[in-house]
Amino acid sequence: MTNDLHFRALAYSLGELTDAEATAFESLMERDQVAREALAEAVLLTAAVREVRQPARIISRTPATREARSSRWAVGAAGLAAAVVVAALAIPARTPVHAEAPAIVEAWNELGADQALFAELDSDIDRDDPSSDVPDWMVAAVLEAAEPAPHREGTL
Amino acid sequence: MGNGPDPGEPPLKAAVSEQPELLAELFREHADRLRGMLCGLLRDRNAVEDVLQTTFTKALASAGDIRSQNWKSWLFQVAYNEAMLLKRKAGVQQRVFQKVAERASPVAETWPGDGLAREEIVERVSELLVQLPPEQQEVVRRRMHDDQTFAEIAAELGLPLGTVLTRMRLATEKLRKALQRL
Repeated sequence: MTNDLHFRALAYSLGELTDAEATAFESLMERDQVAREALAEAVLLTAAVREVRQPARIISRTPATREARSSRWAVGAAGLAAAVVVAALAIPARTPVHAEAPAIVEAWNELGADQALFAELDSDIDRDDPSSDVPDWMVAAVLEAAEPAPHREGTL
Repeated sequence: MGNGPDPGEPPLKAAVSEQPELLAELFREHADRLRGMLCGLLRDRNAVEDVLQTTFTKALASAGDIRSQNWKSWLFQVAYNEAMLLKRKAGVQQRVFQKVAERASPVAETWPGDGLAREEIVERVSELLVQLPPEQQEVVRRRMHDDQTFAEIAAELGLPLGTVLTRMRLATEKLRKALQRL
């Protein structure tokens, strides 16, 4: 199979073959132009990938599914709401906190119960308007703030 | 039909006066890929350039005689033979040197060609790269940017080696589209 050949060429160029496999591939190249070109492609492809600036964190630019977008919105909205609550609590209150807290809880509950609001957000998302999408940097910031310590520094 | 020369190839038998033009055309057409193959075989930039020069010198000497309908194949065959000859001559000493060189500077760390198509290909690869599923991007990044072996990637991600290889295979099949017009 041609794909197998190209993958073997890639593995050869990356030094991933055993000595016996590498020798077998070199023998194949002696008589097979496709194998020689496969090695050329593998090396050029590797070089091109290495020239692409390595992103610190890859966030797919492929079109998000509705479910994924809704999830992003939910995370974004929750983060925003949490920020509002924290900010509200941090501001010196003119009225006692205990008197204001029920109002915040009530607002929070209303936000959570307001299905019409979420339906509207969903319909906005469905229109596929780029301006309605949560920016990647905001999602990344909220996720990073919400996640425990990453598994590994620099993980995609 | 079918008896004429391949329209993509230079004339089969060039007149002596046409040889410089023929060589220039062959060089433009095939040098980048030849360098790619030679980099994969020799992993040494100077050796690659030496073999490339030898190959085109032989092409110049043979230009009036070659009856092959496929210059590309002829050039690759000669370049391959010259590269393997160099490798065999170097013998064990070269093998030791190569192992050290591989560790110090992975093959294809920089663009092996003369840069003519570099920007276009890198841009296309970049576009294709972000279209890959995240799990394939992860494997590509770790293997090609971080120089982890497939086995190391499998161990770190807690995946069977076959899964990592499959992801890499699927990713490279898609990325190869970037080279199709080279």
